[in-house]
Amino acid sequence: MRRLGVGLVWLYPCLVWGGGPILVDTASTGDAVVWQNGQVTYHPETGDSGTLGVFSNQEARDLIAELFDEWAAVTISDGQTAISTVGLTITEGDGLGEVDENNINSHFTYCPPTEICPTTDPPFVVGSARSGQSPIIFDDDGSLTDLIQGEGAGEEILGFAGPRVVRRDETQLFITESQAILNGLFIDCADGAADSDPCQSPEVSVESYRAVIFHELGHFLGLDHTQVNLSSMNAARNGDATAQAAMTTMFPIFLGSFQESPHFDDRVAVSTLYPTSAFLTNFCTISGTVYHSDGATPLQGADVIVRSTTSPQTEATSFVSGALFIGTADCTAEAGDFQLRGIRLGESYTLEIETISSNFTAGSSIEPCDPPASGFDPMQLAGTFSCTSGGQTITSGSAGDTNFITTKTAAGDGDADDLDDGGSGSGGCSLIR
Amino acid sequence: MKTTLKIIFLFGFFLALPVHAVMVLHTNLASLVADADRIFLSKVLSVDAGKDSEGRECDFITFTVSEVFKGDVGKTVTIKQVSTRPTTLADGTVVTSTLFRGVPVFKEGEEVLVLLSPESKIGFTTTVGFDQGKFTVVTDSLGQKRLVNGLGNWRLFEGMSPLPAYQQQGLSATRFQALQKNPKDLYLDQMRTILQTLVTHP
Repeated sequence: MRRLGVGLVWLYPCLVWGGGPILVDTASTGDAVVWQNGQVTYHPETGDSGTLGVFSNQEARDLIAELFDEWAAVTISDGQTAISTVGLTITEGDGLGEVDENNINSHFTYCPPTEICPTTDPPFVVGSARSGQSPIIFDDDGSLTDLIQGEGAGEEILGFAGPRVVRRDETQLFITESQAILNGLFIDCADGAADSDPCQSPEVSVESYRAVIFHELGHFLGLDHTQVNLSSMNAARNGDATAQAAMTTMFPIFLGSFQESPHFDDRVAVSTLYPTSAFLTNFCTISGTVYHSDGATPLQGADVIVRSTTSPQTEATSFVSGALFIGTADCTAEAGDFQLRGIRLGESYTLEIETISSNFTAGSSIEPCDPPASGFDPMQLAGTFSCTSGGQTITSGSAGDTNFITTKTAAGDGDADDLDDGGSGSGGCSLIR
Repeated sequence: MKTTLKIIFLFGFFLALPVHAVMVLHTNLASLVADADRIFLSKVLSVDAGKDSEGRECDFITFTVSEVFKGDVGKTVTIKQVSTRPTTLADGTVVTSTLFRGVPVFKEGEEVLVLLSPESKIGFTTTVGFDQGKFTVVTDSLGQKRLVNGLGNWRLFEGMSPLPAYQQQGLSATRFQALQKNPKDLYLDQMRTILQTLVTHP
């Protein structure tokens, strides 16, 4: 994880994790960094050699377009009607041509040919940038991944994606370019290939890889990881359909092809970054603050989860307290605010907090706190919460307000939970990067 | 060895891939060791942002090596890794590194056990399985050194068997199975035994 020098903080976006944006503008009071006006143009690798495993270049490009469309077409039900809640326009731009080992160097260069290139400090960039291109590169056999990350990396890495370039437009910071490299080595076996065929190492099903790409395109759009329903993870892995329905696309662990179907939490996350007016006016927000046990000091890094009482697993979404504010390594920032969106009229919800898994530190750490915030017990607020008119911000419920004053009981050590605990009983992790 | 293990992970009981912005296969320690060409215990001497001979921005990380488990390793090792730092240009544009989130970040002075992938044709490398192959040495309250990787050693020993060679070096099958259950309780001495065995008997 990167820690930023104080003098530079104002300018840099900050990585965050937690069912929301992957970048936050630290010059603001916590604005998510998104594509401006929801307009996204991407530039896929093109040409006959630009294949992706079993997919021809055209098939791969069609797949990318299809999966981007799935993100842009997200809806949330208001209980009766599916409301279009995402204002994204995603367009395929000019092709990159073929990208391979012989010309990848030219894609390392940040300066476009139409500008006078600086002679110093050209940033290392995979794929072209600054010219406005957002490359999606098809690494057909893993060789480009090997080149960038070391020999053999192509057998371990399925793909990577994320915002790459951000730029300030007057007061707000926007994503101007993202990038993705997708590794076709994982889907290079033809139908019916024998188990002993070398193509099987490594290999996943095409259906699973679709879900991988869908997840990576979520990052491309600026979405972060999220984790609700950790307790369903192991059952989902074992094929339990109910548990699988509870898992999110942006869950930090890839479990299977069922993750191509966005969970309520994914829908709320992308809708929050790119809201339509219908999202803002038809649904409500639950807002509050998590405090330390003194009841006065805001607590950063607790995962706040809202669940509908009707469908607590499939209609649940989370937000990490203080996630929109730059963190400190020891998690002492006095920011504990949360905003949970997508709340529909006429439904009752519960509110709870959890710790983040202690499995995830250092390179896998979870913003805004590394190590994860600990020293408090998981808890659920008494009563339920509901809204009566669209666009309302809810700060109180049937038995009190939406603020959490945390505790640390003798029975609970207050430490972040182990991932394999599955979140049962004492909660689980919520945002693993 | 490598192929077999990965197939087991993918098609057997374990299709679970920890994802960062980089989506990487979860692999057990045996596979990490098999894929690494250099494994050593060290202190991070320096982390320097710079450019390579082709002008690519990268991080140069230099380790002071204290113990070698695999490969031809000198007293110091410098690797070239993709840059994990944001860069701000004169016009205010920021190049972020979210694309490479998951690539291990090293801090000067930290003691680490690293399992390195072979260098690529253009000289880049990083730890095998990204932060799965970077173990930070932490000293517990009893003064004993433990190792933890970027996934908190999650399922580090899954699919591995307690080899007789472990027992010959003082790591009983029972203790190994306990490690499988609680991989966070991994002491440096135990790791030495396991690494030496895996390297010697791949």
